Amino acid sequence: MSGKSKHRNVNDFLRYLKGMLSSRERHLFERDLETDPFSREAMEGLEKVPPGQAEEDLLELHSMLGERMAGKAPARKKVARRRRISIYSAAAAVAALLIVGTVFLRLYDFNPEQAEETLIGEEFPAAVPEETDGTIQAETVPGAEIEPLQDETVTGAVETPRQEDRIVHQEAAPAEPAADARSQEATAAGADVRAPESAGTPDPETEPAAPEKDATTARRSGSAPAAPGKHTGMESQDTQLQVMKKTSNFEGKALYDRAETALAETASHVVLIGEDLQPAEIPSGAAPATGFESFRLYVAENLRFPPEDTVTQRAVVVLEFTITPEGAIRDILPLRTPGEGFTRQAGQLLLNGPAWNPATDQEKKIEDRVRLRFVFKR
Amino acid sequence: MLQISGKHPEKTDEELLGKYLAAGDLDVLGELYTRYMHMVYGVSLKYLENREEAKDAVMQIFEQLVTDLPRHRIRNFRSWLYVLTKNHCFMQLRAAKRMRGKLEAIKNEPAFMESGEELHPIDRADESIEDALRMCIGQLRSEQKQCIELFYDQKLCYKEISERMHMEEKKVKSHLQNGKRNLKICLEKKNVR
Repeated sequence: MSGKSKHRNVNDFLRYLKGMLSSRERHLFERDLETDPFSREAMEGLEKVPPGQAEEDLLELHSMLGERMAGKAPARKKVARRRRISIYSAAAAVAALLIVGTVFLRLYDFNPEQAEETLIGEEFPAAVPEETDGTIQAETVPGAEIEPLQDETVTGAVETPRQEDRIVHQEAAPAEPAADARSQEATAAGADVRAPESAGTPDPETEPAAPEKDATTARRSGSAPAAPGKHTGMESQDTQLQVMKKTSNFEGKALYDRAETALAETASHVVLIGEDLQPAEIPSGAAPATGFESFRLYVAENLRFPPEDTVTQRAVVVLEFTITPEGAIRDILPLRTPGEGFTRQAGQLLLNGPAWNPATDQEKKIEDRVRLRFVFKR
Repeated sequence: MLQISGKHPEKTDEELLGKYLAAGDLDVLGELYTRYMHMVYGVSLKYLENREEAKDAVMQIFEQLVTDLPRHRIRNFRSWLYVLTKNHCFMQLRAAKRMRGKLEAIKNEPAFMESGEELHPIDRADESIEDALRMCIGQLRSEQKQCIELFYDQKLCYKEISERMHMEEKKVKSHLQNGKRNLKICLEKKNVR
């Protein structure tokens, strides 16, 4: 054999790998490795696997080579076949996972928005009348570009209110199951309170009840998103009323989440979201005739937990509704609610509360879509 | 252990190669290849980092020998096979776009920098360069110097050196390699080659 270093056969390598050589023999072997890059690199590779596996592989290779020399089909095909089997196995596993996942999602009627909302509004404790010293903070949420729960709905609201209404009812439905899941029995909020078809939260047939006294959190959007928020750290500001004005560009759920988080940290009970317009162009949005501050106080004094609920400590209801050019409240849609009872209480409070002035655009009264967030808290 | 013995254990690589090229006997080529198959597998494993792919490579390289050997005049089968193996791995990695920094690693390997016939001065046991060698060893960084001395002078194996110096074997090998490279540079400055 050529080469100046002693040729090390496969058994020399295996003995070295298995630690079967004496120190002296190891040293001599390593001297050969130092002078022979082929051997050195081979050893570096073989050391990547346990000696037993290396031996097993080498045995297999000898067998395959033997078959090849005997004129049988190239042995590497077996290797390729084995690899194909591995790939098929992996593919089958992935497919099985996909199927299981799909079935799971179907079974539980999974809705990403709802899931998110559930996470965000994890706490749905009972409510207690809210103290109301809050102030209305016009806009102020760092993400003036707050994304609405239903982008298209909100955007459409500014331009084509009627059409928007229709969209709202269609699109809000998917978000509703959350409320549905959590809802206990309850009667409907009011004649105008519409429950999403799939939600089953408020009962559309029920008459509005008299205003009740409880804490509130509301949020107005002259076409803005209903932003279920994280409620952590909200205790100190639970009675604040925030008005959030959006800019005209909605940029996606991330922004929505960010704004919502900011909202949750700074705002509390009544959160209003302004029109989807630049400030200079903002038409005067629909607003309580008595002003938001007064409305907030009204809600804080009158929002009450549903009579049947004696355990919940905190709950959030987000209602979206239309203020017609005539100032009527229509098409109330619960975007978020822990149950029909809560929806009813909030809806009744809204319907029996102060009158609303319609939004105006260049002195012309227009329809507007508003979102209010009511926070029940004991 | 594997029981591997060819029909012509006494024959050199080149003799077997000549025999194969003369008669085209696949058994002869198989016997020749068997001598290095574990090394081909090891090198493939080093670069491809996958047992199945490495085994595939071993068999593919054998097929390549069948087609390439008649077309080349090979003086040193072992060195030629080494380069062929690395090139095959290189192509595999490139095809799989898994090159990352491996291309540089492959290019910088000694096989591409020096022929198999060129031994490092410290491995040649040449007494005529002993003084220069000692002087250069003395100029090495502490850890490299220690590893060189323990390995070449005290004839310790990697494991013993790692235990004595409280470092991983990998580190020991690294210090040895770097030390040898620096020694070579130092010796070349002294016109010792």
